[in-house]
Amino acid sequence: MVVKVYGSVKAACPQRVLACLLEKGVEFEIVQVDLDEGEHKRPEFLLRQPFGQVPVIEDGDFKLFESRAIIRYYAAKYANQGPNLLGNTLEEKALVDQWLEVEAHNFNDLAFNLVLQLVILPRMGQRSDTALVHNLEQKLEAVLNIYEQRLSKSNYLAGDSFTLADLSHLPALRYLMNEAGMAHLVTQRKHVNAWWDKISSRPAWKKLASLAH
Amino acid sequence: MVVKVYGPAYASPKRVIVCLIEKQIEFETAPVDLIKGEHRNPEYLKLQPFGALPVIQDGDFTLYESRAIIRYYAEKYRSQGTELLGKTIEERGLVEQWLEVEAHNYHPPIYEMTVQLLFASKLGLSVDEKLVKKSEEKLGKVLDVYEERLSKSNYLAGDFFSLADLSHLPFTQYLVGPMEKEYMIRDRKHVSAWWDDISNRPSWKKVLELY
Repeated sequence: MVVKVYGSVKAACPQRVLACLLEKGVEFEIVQVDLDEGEHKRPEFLLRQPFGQVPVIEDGDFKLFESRAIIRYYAAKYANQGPNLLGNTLEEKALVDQWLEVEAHNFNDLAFNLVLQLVILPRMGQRSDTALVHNLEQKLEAVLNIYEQRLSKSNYLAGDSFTLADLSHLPALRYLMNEAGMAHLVTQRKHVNAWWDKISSRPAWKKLASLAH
Repeated sequence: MVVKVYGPAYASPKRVIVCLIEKQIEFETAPVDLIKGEHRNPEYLKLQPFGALPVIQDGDFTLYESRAIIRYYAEKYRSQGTELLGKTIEERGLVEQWLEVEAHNYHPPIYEMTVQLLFASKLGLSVDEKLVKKSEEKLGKVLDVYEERLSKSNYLAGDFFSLADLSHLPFTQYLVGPMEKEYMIRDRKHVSAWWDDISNRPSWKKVLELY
């Protein structure tokens, strides 16, 4: 039975899940949810995800939402198939969780709000707030300076192997570097840039990017 | 060698402390004064480069982000104390789901309210009443979803207490206590019963007694 992923192949949070399933070689089917039409806020969808957010997965009878919960579930369930995305020891796994939390709390809001201001609002014919963009950019620079420090000491965020912590950054970083025109945030930082090159060259990510964009 | 937890006076470190108590793990604490800006000292930034609380040191091992720390200890000490991760990997998946809900849907508005109502004046800033009102509305909508969920199961991830419920303790305590917004919990029958249950656990009562 294939995993059903509710969302859009272009949306960042579903992409987090799709990238993980592709890495682990887990078959899936995308069930389109039209975010532009507000489908995710309608009663039928709210029965699946009461906060009106994508993605949601359905795996037989088992249903789960929150992309970072879904990727942890599949990385654990298919621990013996595909690359190990959770580290080898409990301490390594803890570092994966630490950097997943950093992505969620320190990186994601800044990246999301920049993409909102620079890509989504203009697409909807609305003005973006220049002062806010500048403020967000400065904060994100400070965060990426810490990443630069970290990645000067290890090849990937949680250690010397690619894990969920790195994977979780792919969707927002791609949007920042392309549609949002913020590539300099990455390319001006030697170790962050090298890390981005490595993680975005992975076959699973390239496959998803070709499906989506 | 015991686990050292930094910043016990504040909410996020209490998320870690209540977990350690549930798992019967010995620990010690080290104070960090946010008002004095001690979280921005070079020595602290060596441990936690984002300048946030908490961080733990366990022998040679240093870890930050409270929700990463609680997952680590819940798993490492699986065989002792309260089971906090469910029994199957699907139950674990639901624990992770509701931990993420707490982090992304519950935490942002309640954190804004905490900063405005409990810390702004200490930092010499005026309270942004509009932001407080907006955050309270957002939090109310989240609590409505919780009310529906908790009408179907005793705890968030199912009929078992888990990290997902535990994660809510510190900031909700601020809400019903010093923020004086207990009505947000009491106006919702199932949320109210859930709050009574989890906040009366001996572990949480111990945290309030100690810190």
